[in-house]
Amino acid sequence: MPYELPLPERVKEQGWKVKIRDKERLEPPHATILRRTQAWRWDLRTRRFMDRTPSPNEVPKEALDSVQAQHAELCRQWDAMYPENPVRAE
Amino acid sequence: MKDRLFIFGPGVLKPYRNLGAQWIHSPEDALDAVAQEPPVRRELTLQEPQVLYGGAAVAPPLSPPAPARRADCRLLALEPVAPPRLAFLRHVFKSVIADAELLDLNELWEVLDSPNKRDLFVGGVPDREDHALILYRGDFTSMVVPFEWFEPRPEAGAPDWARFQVTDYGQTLRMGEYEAAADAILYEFDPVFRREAKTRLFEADDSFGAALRRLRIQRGLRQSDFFPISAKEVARIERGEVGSPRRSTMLILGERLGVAPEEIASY
Repeated sequence: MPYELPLPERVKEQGWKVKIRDKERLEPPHATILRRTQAWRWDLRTRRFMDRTPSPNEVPKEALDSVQAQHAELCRQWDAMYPENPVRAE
Repeated sequence: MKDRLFIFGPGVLKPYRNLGAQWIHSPEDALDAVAQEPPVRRELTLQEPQVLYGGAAVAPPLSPPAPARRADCRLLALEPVAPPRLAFLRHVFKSVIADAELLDLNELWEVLDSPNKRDLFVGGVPDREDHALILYRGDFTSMVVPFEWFEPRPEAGAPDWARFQVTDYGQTLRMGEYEAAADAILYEFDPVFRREAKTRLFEADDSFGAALRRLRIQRGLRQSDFFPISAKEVARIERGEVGSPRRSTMLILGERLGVAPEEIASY
């Protein structure tokens, strides 16, 4: 079952989602911020965006604040889904 | 020559008008459209002209299309297509996506209009006899993924292929309680996507050792799973302490990872 991070209503209404799905690229552990046809991967180890494109600047502060504020929960969810490659593996 | 897209559907759908579509109602109309030059488009951001094909139950015409025209036209069927008609459509069009579980229509047109449509899935067909999932991308290319690649997960269990859906604007495949990321599939099965994905990274470790480590973890293998190569040796390779692994080592690594040895570095 995928994990979907709860987001503020206003952000959700704009189509933003943050997910960890049951089949992801495993390394590094990450959450995916989705909006329509675009996706931004958020590295759970470094707490930074992984990819140059699409531009991280397109992610609204409110959505990013939610990701940051719920970092521990995202890590917990990742570890539960992918115990073979936990966030604190290094 | 630019490809043209045809859509076979249950009536003129408003979002598709935005794609600069021409609506067609019969196989004869389809042939006429294939024979025409691409329609002039106004205020379009699309790379390719688009034509819609509305499905009326009309017998195929007698005259076959010119073979040269077949090369640049593709068709997406929004409704089920009967086998005889499907054979006809496959004769007319370069590629046909039919009888696939498609994205929600509102999301579908946006994917078809997206600059990164190649990286998004528009539909798929679980083939339970061959235990493989046929997936269609936004550029109409297809790929096949074995069912076994979607390992069961503790909470989601195994994928429920009877409940297969494409969702999140082509970025997620849903099989009941199980979801798979489109980018994970593309990264695994499309070397071009893999190469491009690596160029997008802020911090890319392009070393062979890092690629080996990523692939090993993706496969759920431990450093000790490469007998007769020792775990210590695998660790040294991953840390970049071995300049260039021997051919015999590469063969063992590739065999255990399920890829050609020369492909390991692409992960």
